[in-house]
Amino acid sequence: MPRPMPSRLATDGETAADDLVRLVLALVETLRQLVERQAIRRVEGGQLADDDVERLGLALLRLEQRMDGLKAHFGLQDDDLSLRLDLGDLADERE
Amino acid sequence: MTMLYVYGIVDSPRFDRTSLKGHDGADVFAVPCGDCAAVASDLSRRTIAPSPRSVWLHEHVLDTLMRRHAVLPLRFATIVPDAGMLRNRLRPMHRALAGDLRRLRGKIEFALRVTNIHAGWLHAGDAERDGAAAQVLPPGTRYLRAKAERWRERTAGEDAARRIERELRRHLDPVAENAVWALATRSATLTASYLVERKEVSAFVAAVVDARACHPALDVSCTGPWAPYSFVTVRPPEAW
Repeated sequence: MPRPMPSRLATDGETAADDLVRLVLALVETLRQLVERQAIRRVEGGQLADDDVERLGLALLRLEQRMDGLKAHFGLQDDDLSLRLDLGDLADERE
Repeated sequence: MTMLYVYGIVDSPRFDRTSLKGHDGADVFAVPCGDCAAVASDLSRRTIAPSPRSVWLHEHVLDTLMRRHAVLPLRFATIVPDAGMLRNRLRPMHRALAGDLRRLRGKIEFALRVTNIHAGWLHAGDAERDGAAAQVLPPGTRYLRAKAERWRERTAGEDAARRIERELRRHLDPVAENAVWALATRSATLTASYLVERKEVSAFVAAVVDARACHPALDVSCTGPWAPYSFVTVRPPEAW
């Protein structure tokens, strides 16, 4: 069962390493999603040439595959990495 | 080792406890703190499992007290080592607790859950057509296009949920004191907590029936009355 991310980091000597890995991966996953959302916005807005879309898509695809590998390695589910942040405003910002 | 299981905060240290039994049949008693008191019973272990019986007992104690008093419910399995520590924890919050007790006196909570709100969100035909066309795209472009499609579906779903929330609120808000709504995007479920005056319970239930009749495609479940968990502003420390 996925563990909800606590509002405060509560850890102890035995779980500190696991908790740190989880926190770092949660931050990376949040940034990955934010970058992906910005990329989608640019693609939808027709701001990118076909070659750029393919290059960006491939980079994001590989990043997602790498994250899936790390989650599997550390036995984490998607919900384990949810920081419960509302990124709506951030993602909607115009460049 | 005997611990204290704490059910909630009540507006008076003097409450009728004759019919009240806590977990494991233990007597329920007050731990006074200023004008209010914590409602507690002894517990001969450090934890308690959330079984239907134990959760209902927690609710039953609160429900019985709420008939005569203002009560701030604490979450299930709030356990402290002793009365001294409990008083120390409550003392700094005393004024805020008194404020919440005044505000929530005579009020109860209903929980609403609205499902089947995704009907019509997805355009399966479009998705299939787009899926066939996507097969000829290079992998990076296909990945981004698929993500964009999912994002559009999600946005459309959130817009639909917001419209449904506005519709239901039109029926329910006039007979309620306060409401908190939330959308679980992944499960396409709207949830709401409604704070209702005890004397308005019948009117609120009638409003729910009315809302259901006006929106037969939606599954609207309503449970309660509960202690007003969602409207207590004083948050006890996560670790006692």
